[in-house]
Amino acid sequence: VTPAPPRLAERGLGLLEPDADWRDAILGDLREEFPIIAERHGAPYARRWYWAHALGIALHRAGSRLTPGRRRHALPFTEPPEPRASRVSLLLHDVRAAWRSVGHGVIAIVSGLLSAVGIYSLLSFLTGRRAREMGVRMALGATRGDVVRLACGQAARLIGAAWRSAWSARISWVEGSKRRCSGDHRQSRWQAALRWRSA
Amino acid sequence: MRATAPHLGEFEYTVLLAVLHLKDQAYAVPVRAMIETRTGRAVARGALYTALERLEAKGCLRSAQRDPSDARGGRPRRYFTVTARGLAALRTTHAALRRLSTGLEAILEQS
Repeated sequence: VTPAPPRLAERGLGLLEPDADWRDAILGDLREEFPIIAERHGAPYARRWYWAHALGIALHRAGSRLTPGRRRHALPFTEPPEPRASRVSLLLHDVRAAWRSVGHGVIAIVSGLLSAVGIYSLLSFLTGRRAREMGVRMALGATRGDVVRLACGQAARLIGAAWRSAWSARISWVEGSKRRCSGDHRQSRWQAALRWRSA
Repeated sequence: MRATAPHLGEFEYTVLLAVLHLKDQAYAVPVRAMIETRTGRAVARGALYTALERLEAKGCLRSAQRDPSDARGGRPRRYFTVTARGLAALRTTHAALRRLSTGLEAILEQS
């Protein structure tokens, strides 16, 4: 019996490719190669192979549509290691690939949400503490702008300080990554500090 | 007014050469296999499909769908042929690379 490709991966890739002709060509090509891979390396490896390529194609095509002029590096999802590799290295490959493609995005979204919650709490705490003062100022003729400035000024200073330190950390981190990509494996101060802490 | 040949990126140049080699059997699967075999470089499928689509939009390739089969789940293959504009682009890029490498044979052809 010819093994069939994972249906979920096939459906997902089909949904993500808006052009019907390209969808047929891409899904047909993968379907054509799937039995050959399954025969050569076994069905479990072939399923992993299919998922890796389906996700890789979907990410690459979506990226090209969103930012057409941008130069794109090779995919985060590469050919899975040969099936003779140990289970641990296969698992590590999958985890690393998923991390590179999805993990960073998830962390960015969670960080954004946490920051929003943090800013809201900070503002409500500072406003609550100065509610009486605001009431008095409004009674004495302060405008709405004055009250907003009063409420946000202190929070803005704190957020600005946090932003400055986060920005310099980001620059340092990105420079370190760029150096590593160009073959220079010296660590930035931040990376060295984090490595030292986690060691 | 005659349209000038478009500039080709390195990967686009590679893809066009592979399509030219494969003649009437040029669809994504053998194109990828040929690039990997002849250049020894792994090709991401997404990158290949995007390059083929872009080359078609530039007028360097023409495609036709045929040969649906059960092995492909009833889906047709998308075959590509190089157009006159694609050939002109290939010649321009090839000539530019040749001019650029002239005088460097001693270094480039060292084994």
